Amino acid sequence: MNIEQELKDALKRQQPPPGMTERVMAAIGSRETPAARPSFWRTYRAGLQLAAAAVLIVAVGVGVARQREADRERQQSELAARQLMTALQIASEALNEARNEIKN
Amino acid sequence: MAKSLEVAPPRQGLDGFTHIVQEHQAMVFSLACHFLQNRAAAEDLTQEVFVGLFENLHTIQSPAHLKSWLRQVTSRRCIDIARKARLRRFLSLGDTPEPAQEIRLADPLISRRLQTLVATLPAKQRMAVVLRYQEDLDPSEIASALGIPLNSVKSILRRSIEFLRTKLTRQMSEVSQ
Repeated sequence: MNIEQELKDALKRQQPPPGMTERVMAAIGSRETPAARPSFWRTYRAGLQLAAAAVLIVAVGVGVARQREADRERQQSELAARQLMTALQIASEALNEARNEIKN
Repeated sequence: MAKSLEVAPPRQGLDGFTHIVQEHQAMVFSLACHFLQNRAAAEDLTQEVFVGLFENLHTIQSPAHLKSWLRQVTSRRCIDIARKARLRRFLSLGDTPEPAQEIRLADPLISRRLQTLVATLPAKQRMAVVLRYQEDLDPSEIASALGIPLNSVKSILRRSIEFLRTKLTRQMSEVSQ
């Protein structure tokens, strides 16, 4: 027995019942055609544009806020550095005066 | 940009699509019928597949792509149905529906027993066997339709054939005794 040939015989194509084409076309006809159905973009265009604008505004706002924060921190760092240098300078001068007095 | 289907682009509407249905409905129906062993369910599935095709016609790039799309969607839909409904539980050897009477078979007894045995295979094995012997697809085409590796298909087919041969031989020897 050739099992593969037997399977080919057993699984021959079966024809659909008469009227299958009409049944399919009726089902399709009862639905909207793809052309008549509004696209996703057309349906949600306004909302998507609004959402995109909102995201852009928030992104720009966050960027600006971060930049300002970074600038403020940099300015504070520079001020602290200047103050430290001044303090070191004063301390150095005081030490020099004290050393001179000890020498004399 | 993808080239649109030359057979019947969507703008040609229902007339062009009717030809597509007429040309391919036997393949879709027969795959479903052999798999589900139920003509009414196969008709419903055929309708569903072609409605899906109509809605996705703009994605079809060639007649070959169309045929492959139909095989793939039909196979996967059949397997989904089998899993959801747990058809295997109901398709035991005893209560398998009789095959359609209009089929002309080389040996009705062997063919009927084979159809019954095929119906007992797990879903993916069953569809692989139907695609192999109804549509005469090679393993790589079956792998593409079912979305599984080529080696798995080869293994599935080998095991299925062995199972069917063993079971059929045993049944035929019981009948002859």
